[in-house]
Amino acid sequence: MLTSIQKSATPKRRPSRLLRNKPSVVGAVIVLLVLLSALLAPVLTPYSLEDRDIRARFQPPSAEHIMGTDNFGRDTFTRVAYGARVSVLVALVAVGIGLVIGVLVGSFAGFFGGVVDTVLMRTVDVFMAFPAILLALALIAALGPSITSVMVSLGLVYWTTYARIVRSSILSLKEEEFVDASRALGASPLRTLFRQVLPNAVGPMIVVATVGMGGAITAEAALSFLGLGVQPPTPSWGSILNVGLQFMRQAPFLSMFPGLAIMVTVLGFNLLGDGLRDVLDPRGTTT
Amino acid sequence: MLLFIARRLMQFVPVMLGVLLIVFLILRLIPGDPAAVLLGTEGSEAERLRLMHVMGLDRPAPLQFLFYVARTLTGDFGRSIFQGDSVLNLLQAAVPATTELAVLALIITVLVAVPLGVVSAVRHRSWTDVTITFVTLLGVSMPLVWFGILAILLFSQQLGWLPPFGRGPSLGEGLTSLLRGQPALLLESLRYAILPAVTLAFGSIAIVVRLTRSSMLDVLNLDYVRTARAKGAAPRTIIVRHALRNALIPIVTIVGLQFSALLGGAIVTETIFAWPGVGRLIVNAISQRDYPVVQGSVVFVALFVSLVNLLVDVSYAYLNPKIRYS
Repeated sequence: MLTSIQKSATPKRRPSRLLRNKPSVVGAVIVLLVLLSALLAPVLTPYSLEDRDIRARFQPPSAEHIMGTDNFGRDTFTRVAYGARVSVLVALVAVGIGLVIGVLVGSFAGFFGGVVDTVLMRTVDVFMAFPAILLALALIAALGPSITSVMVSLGLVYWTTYARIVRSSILSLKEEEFVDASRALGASPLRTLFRQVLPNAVGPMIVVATVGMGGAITAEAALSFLGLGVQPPTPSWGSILNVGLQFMRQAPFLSMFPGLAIMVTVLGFNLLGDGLRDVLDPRGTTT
Repeated sequence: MLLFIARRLMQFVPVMLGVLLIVFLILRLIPGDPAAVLLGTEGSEAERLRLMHVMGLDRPAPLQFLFYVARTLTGDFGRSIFQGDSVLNLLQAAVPATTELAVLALIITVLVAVPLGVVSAVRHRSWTDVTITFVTLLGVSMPLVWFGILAILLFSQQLGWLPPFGRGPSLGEGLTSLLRGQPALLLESLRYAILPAVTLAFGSIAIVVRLTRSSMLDVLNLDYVRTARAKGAAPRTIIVRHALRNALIPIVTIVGLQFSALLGGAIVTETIFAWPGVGRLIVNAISQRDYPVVQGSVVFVALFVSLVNLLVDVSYAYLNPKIRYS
């Protein structure tokens, strides 16, 4: 019943509604800037990732090194800019893995109901019994710390959120008349699910995936801070924070910029996600 | 009520078996067999086979899982490869430290977040509300690691007020000595605990403020609150006795559920502040490839979290009769 509101909103008006919402515009601009600095990292900085000058260790911010240098005399700005690549890549792949599993599990559970639903949702309960970062750590312990392990393990941790939200959208969508119509026309259940029902659940999925990007970036930073995520010398915001903690006496400024980068990026995804929710998910499935 | 508890327990058992199954399967992902890992490069083939047999690794996987469940149920969580101690002993040393941190963080969360949420709702759309909403948005986005490092930089390094690392006397010892009229030990204990506890609480505070605010806003618009206003009840009475009481129901749930998030956050917090709890135990065990410790601690924490969630559910049903019959 309420879904008719969502469908009646013409696609044309959606972008303008998003643009009128100031916080989400700020969010979109931040996200865009982060993506740009990830793409343009080599152009933004005169230094390369390999450049190190051991005599210029722990330099405070200056015109030459706007964010100072680290324990190897490497330019922190360069590492933060390249770190954006790692963060965005890890988050994209992790959210992608989570979405694929979550959408499959959630839509089967919601659409077929009964035993299928019970078994799949009990599995979700089991995964949710672990604090998220703990399950990721257990998986990394088995797979060995690497950037791939981080992506895979975060994907295997976050799919439960997506499964729950997709399931609840499917549950309300399958009562709609167009589902009966599709069945009456002789479409198989799977065809009805993937061609008719799922496309209508895309809005909430985009919202949770956007907010999920922020969560994945924070989680990657935490894992890399623990030394169990992205391994040196690949720069990650989390591992720079770890170095910052170790050398806080010599270089208190070292922790400032990667931390700020994480906060601003996550803030961007959160603001954008809130704005998208108003536009794409007026029923509030994702709140 | 008994029926509700029975039903909830019935759901608890399969989830627990599922938790054990996941951990069992995850550890089978490790390349190479555990006996070879344990022996290192020293062992001969015969020794390896003997150890496989001792560890039960020559049996079929489903049987291994059954034995694993049986061992866990009897409280046998395995032995550490490096420390030679049983995992249960290691956990017994670490769990009180983590619990202390999580409980302190939970208290701080409630004491700070609920009043802020209430003020934000009562002064809806004022500057106070906008400021609180903005700060909580920053709070949700700020990584715990960074908050912790900034806290150490400010309170330990710049101001020199608080120790940056480690744990003092336990809170329990502090409280017993306070009962004997000596508050010094408690103060010493809190001096070490306050920075990690606030760091851990930080993320939860933002979430609970947001929820309290929206829950209060819902209730403040209801008819019975308007009636109370019309009767001429004092604003303070309306807010506290009428509105907050009903707004508290969803707040209690989310605070209970925060416990899981707090234990997750404790893993990072303990590493920042060198706090000797379960989080540090797990992180160190992973770095040393001490798999029995990883396995035992992960299972222990997951069981603990599920048990707390079960208790939250039951107490929630006790507080709110609507739940019992749905």
